[in-house]
Amino acid sequence: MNDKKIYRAFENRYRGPRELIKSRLRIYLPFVEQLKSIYIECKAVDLGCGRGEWLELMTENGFEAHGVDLDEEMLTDCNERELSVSNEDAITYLQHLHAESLVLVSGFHIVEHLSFDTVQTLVIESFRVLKPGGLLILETPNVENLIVGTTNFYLDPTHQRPIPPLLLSFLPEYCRFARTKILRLQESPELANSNEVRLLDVITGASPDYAVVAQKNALPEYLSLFDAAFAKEYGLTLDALAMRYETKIEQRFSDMESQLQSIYASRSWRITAPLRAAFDMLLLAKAILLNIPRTAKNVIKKLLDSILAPIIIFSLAHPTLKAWILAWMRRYPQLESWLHKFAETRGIIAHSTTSQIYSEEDYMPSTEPSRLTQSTCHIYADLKAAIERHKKGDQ
Amino acid sequence: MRIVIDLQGAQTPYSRNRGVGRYTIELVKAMVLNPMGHEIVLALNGAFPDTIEAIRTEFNDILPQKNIKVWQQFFDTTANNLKNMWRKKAGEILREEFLNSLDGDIIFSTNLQEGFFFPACASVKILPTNSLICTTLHDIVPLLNPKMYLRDSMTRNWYEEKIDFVKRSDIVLTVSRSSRDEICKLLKIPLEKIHITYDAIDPAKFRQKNIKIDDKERLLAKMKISGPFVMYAGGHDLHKNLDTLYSAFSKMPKDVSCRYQLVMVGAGIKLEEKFNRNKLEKMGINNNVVFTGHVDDDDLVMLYNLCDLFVFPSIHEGFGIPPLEAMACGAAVIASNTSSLPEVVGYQDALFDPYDDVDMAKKMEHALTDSKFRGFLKEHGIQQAKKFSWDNSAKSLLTLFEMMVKKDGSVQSISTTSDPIQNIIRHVASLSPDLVFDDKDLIKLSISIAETFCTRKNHSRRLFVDVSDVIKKDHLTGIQRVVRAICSELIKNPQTIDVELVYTSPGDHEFCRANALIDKILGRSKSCAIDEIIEFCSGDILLFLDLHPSVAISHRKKIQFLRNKGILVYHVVYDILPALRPEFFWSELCFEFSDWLSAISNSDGAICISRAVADELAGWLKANGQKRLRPFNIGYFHLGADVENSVPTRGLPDDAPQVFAQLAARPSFLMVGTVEPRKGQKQTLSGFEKLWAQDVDANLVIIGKEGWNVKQLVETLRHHPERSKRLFWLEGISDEYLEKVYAVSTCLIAASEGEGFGLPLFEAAQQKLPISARDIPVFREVAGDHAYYFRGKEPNDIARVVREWLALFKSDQHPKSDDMPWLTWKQSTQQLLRVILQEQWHIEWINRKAIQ
Repeated sequence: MNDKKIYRAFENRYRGPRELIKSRLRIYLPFVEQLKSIYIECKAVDLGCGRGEWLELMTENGFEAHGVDLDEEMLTDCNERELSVSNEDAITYLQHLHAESLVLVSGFHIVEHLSFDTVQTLVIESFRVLKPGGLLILETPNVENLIVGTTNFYLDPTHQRPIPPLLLSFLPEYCRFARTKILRLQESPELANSNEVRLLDVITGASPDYAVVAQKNALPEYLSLFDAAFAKEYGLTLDALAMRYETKIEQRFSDMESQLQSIYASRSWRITAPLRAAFDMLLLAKAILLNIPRTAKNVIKKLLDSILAPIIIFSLAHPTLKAWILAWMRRYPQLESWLHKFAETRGIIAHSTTSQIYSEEDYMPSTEPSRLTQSTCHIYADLKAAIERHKKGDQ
Repeated sequence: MRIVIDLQGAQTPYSRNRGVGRYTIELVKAMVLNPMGHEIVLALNGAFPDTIEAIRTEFNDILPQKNIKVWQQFFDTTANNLKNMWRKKAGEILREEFLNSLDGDIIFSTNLQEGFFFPACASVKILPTNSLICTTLHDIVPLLNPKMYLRDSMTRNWYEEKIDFVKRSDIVLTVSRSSRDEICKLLKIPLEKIHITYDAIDPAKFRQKNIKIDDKERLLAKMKISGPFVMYAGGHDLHKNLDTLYSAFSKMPKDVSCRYQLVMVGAGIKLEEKFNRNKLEKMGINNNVVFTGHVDDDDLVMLYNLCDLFVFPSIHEGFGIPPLEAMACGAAVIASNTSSLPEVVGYQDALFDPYDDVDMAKKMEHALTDSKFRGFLKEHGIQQAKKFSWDNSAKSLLTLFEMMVKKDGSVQSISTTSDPIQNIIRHVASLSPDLVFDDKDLIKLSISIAETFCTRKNHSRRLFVDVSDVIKKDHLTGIQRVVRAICSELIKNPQTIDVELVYTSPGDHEFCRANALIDKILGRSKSCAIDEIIEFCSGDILLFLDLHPSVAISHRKKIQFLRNKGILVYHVVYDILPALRPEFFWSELCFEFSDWLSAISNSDGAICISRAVADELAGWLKANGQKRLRPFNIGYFHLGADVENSVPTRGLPDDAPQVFAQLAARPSFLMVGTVEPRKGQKQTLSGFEKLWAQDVDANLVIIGKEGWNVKQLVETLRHHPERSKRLFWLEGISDEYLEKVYAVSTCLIAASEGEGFGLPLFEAAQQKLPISARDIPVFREVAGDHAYYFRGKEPNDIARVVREWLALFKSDQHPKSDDMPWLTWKQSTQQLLRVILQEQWHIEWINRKAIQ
């Protein structure tokens, strides 16, 4: 009982006022009106009729409409408006009807609450109970809209899983309906026509709902009455939006480019060229001035490496020269030690750092504790103990 | 008297190719060749693994291998890195305690100046010792030129420590009198304490030679020498004084100098060539001077023989080997009158003042123009060279040692029963706390100590048998059956040597005790929770009994380490068919096998399972073997033929009686073995087809599962028209069935083109089934006269043999197998042990030069 109350409150908050809903439902009128041209008696059933907006609309348009819903609270609204409703399960209701007894079966935002098997049964039963040329309308959220598909669909905790348009439109075809039509619905009318598509629009602007309208086979002259309605294009796809956005951006860029070109070509630009050059040089001079200490260091370092180092190497290789230089350097011990250090750091004097005693390939026993022999472990323990004792002894 | 000699001077890359290295090896070799009744033990540092095999080879024929001991040092002690200070001290302690533990009367170190660039350790008396310490100080050139050699504090400190060690030694050796005088003066060591062991030369190499005209022309052309020449050979350091030589040469009278060339021999001098040419040009002698660069020993000896005069103008030498070499070759030698050269040359008139180029020029001119003088120089040189020999130096050194030891009286002030390991621990623990070390250093030190000293209780040698493959999975292959049989014998029965079963794996270099297998053999429940890691001691033997190629290949360095340490490593070789007949095996196996053969040829030897395989292995090594130093021993033993005590399989299929009846109906020839190309079933089948076509009434029974690469043959067998009539193929039959088949068969055909041993022959002999075998060496070896042999790879050959044999059979003259000798596994194992322990080798393979 509580769930139902919550659902009603939820619906009240998020579903929208009655008139708004009804106005949206009018989009189906071009389809259903033609039914009256074929049949005198037009019985229609709305599965999951909710607050009965569709029933109202149908009754206003000359249909004998009946609705079923499992939610008693919802049905109170219908009863208040004296609409024909009953509190029962949609599938069971359909199954009790005689074959070919209705012209119209509809279900607005019900299939996303049902398991796929149930939806399939629904379509099959609908086919049975519809008269030739009869229509099945199923409306459900359109997850091509990225916001719907990722977020809004899941706002309703009773939604099962999204049904993409291609899947829902395949079902009736599979169940031997003659033709189906996908109508994308409820997009923003401004967006539908404008070229000013923003990035957010691409993400959120595709039609948030869609419906599948399926028609049972009939004589061609009857079917042709519905051709116009079936031929029309409905709604806003994600692809279309993305394309429009891209085109807009491209256009912007090419506009900017041509603007830039005209600036470069203009006389004022050409005239001011020398001025700009002078300004650039000023910036460069500024940069250099700021960097002089660092660059000077680099320059000196490079000089040393490229000139002094080879000189030292050459001298060392020639004993007479070396002896002469060394003799001369003895007079300037500070210079001598500096040169010595210089030579060491540049690797000229063989002051080798660590020598590798075992090359990569030589055998080196593992120092992993698990790979040590017993003797090694004993020795290691004794060593550690002796060192500890010695440390303590010192203190 | 026992003399322990530290041979690091021949190990470090710094010394081993120079005078010090030569001194070390030649002097010690001379001592070993003529030890005057004393025992000599050599000590090597394990931190230079590549040098140990070469040294062991050098002494292989003259010193028992067990007299060469190696201590291990798995950490870096190089002194020119301040981070190594603690490690350096620890290494010194380890070395000294190790040398002490060898109980020598004398510990002789051929060069203390090691360890600055490489991880050698050399110290004197940082631990108390019972031995007399003798060290050689070759020269003190750094002390005489401290500004050039001892400028920075690190080098200076290190060198001063070494000098301090020299002063602490009981005996100081040097190589010349002048060097001794210098040492006495500068180091303030009393003259009596310093003794001289002269450097020398190898008289077999450096001697007078009769040189044929052709060789002379060829050599002179190669060296670009056009006529008579004056020669110098040696280094190019400053003190070699070459500039004065050039100057002296130019100052000779023109009519003399224009007739001669000045030939400078030495790699270092060659580097100077361009630099010197300008100078020589200015002196006007550029066209007379030839730089030869490095010259190999044979050419060097010839040059010494051919030169007209040899000049050695060096200002300072410790000894001066080149003039000695020249004199030995009969050259006329003149040299400086400074440092050691007067001693070496030994003739006053042959000397000049190296600082005076005019004096040098005069002497050169005199020698070149006065033929009598030159002749006298040559004569004198030959006699003088005889005075220097390694043998003489060795003798005088040993005599000196004898005298010192007698004088010393070997005061046993330190208990020799103390544990070396505990000593090391004590001393390392009391190292200064300023020296930084971390836990890893301690672990590496512990490993080094454990690998250096044998901690086994009774120091007995052990035989370790590697069974790495059998451990993993029981494939029930022939090889694994051999391994299990031999292991069973070794473990169940006490042997003359302790035996351990061990295993390892390619990724892990340690060997572990195979407790599970030992338990299984002894039939007891699990005795140990973990398989402890094996500790090897010098003198042990490691035998790879199992065939596990990846282990042998991956453990090359570990095996080299073990061999360096003094452990003998052998492999059992079952056959080398993948190398000899690769067509019988798939290619990956052949590649791995040839890698395995190369790997095992680095060990000490191989024991094959038949003489035939031993000969094949020797042949393969001769053709493909890589360079190795010590000889590779090849032996062989025979496998046992008694069936394992396992429960034989039972089971006879329903059609068995029928089969037996058919087999008994006519002569049945048996082939036992996997159906494989090399077993020869294809040839035999074709042969029998010919026989059947000629209405010879005989059965062919093939027993064995399908093997590799025989799809076509198998198809033929399965759909053969004679199948179940006169051709039988019995796959996967039980032992019981097999026994019954033997009982009704007439002859075993062993047509295999290659076998390691030939166990099927023994099986047949035990069933008293006659044998007809292919004439290959291994079958001859095991069957001897107890089989009928055939040759040829054509079907006709088989057909002919069968017909011949049937003829013999009719008259009961066929060779019988009843008395064919076979061994039990007990006997086989004993044979294997005899080969290994008593060194009963069949072939020794030596290959000092690389084959390629």
